[in-house]
Amino acid sequence: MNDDQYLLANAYVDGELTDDERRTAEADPTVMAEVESLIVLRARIADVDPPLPDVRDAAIAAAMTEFSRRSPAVSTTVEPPQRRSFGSRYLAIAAAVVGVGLLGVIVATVGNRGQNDADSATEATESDIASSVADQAAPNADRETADVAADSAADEMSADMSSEMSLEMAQDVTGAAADGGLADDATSDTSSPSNAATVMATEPLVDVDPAYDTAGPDAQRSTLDVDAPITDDLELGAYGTYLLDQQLVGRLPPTPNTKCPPDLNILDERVIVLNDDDTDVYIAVQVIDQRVIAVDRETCVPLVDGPLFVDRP
Amino acid sequence: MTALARSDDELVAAAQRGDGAAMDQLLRRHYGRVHAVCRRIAGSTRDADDAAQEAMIRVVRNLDRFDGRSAFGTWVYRIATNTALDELRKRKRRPQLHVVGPDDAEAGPREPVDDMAHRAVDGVADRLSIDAALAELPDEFKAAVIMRDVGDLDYAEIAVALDIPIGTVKSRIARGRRILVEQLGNQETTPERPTDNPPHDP
Repeated sequence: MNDDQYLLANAYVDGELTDDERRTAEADPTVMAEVESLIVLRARIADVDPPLPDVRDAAIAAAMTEFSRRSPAVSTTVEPPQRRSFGSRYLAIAAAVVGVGLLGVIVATVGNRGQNDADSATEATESDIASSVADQAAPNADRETADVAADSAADEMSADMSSEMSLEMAQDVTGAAADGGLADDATSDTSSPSNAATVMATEPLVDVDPAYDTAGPDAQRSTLDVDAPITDDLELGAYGTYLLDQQLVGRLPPTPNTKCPPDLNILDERVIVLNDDDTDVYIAVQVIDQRVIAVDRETCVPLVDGPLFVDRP
Repeated sequence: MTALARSDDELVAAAQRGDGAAMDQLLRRHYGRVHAVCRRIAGSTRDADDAAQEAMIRVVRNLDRFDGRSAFGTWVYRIATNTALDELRKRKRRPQLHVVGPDDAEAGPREPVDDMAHRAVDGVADRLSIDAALAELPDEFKAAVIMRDVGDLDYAEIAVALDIPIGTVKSRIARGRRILVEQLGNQETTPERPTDNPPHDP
């Protein structure tokens, strides 16, 4: 077989030929024999074990953590459901106290070095830290806000301050935040699947309180009302997670008697707001796919879905 | 309320506006193939796990820069390929554990318990031989072959992803497969493990 025939066979296998080229290939027994062996080779190359679900979930959790860092105002909506706790506010306050204390240290340090030593980069950093602390220490701030406070203080100091003293203080911020109870979040390394899994594992997985928080700590979040119509995919996901938890602790009410396939795993019926209309649906929980599906009650066709928030053993 | 089967473009636009659910859906949609690409390039499941996770993070970090000139999947698999190649280079710089091979089996061959077990063993052996052959493949050929055969990208998409002409894609894939066939042929002509039917004494 010459090189042209071999290239032709490869392009044939890859579906990259024109009709004329395909006819030419099919008329050549040598090319077609090579095609057969290339098909086998392709199948062998493509035969890859699928990733384990927990590895997948850890990877996606790590990526979503990064997403949250980049757009904290809206991106925290895929965190596992959790109830707000007073502890989180205390953590935010602790972070703010650490930040204010740090600011004092910086001012004192700069003062000791003399006014003329304060270069513009340091001034900018002080300003950044001050505004960061002020912004992040708002009364309603909680765990993630505290993360941002600690992270931004550390990051900004590391990036903007050139002196060794500044770097040490930046490290102190992280350490102080950890001492204040932020270690699980503010200093978590999500760069490996195992660490990301640890981050997820710190979230409460089973909570029988129906007041599931669908979105998290910021002001845009809302508390799920299990009787109100579901209005978005996150509420749907949170409600499915809630149902699954109820099932785990044996408190799930009898599931609806439906004609839908059992593998849909329908656990409840609810009303969702679909295209501005209230629609009666079944709620199905797909544990393997980590999805919660709203299913049409007449046709059993999935209408919308949301993410199942938990990573269960 | 989010409808099922939103397109990548719709999800990307939503994710770029900060929609976490859209981002999550995009990542889940592409993770399987990203992992497969990483698995084939990096050569081990553990490294593939790390590379796939890093690729997911890079996708998030760079999402704002994605301008839609290529398909989102093409862009993602390009990131996955580059990340896996990075992982591979890192691994080559660090000491490796010894992989137990047939020469280490001093206790003699183990007999398969049943036919299914035998098939499973064959399957593992086949994947190992593919891994070994891919490991010998130069990176530029490996990337093209894996993007085609695992990532299922067409030549034009691979050309965009690797920033090379389509003709180069075509030749790299063909040459890469030829090298793989040669490698696999060498492996298969070498008796790596005992067969079920040992030769009879003369």
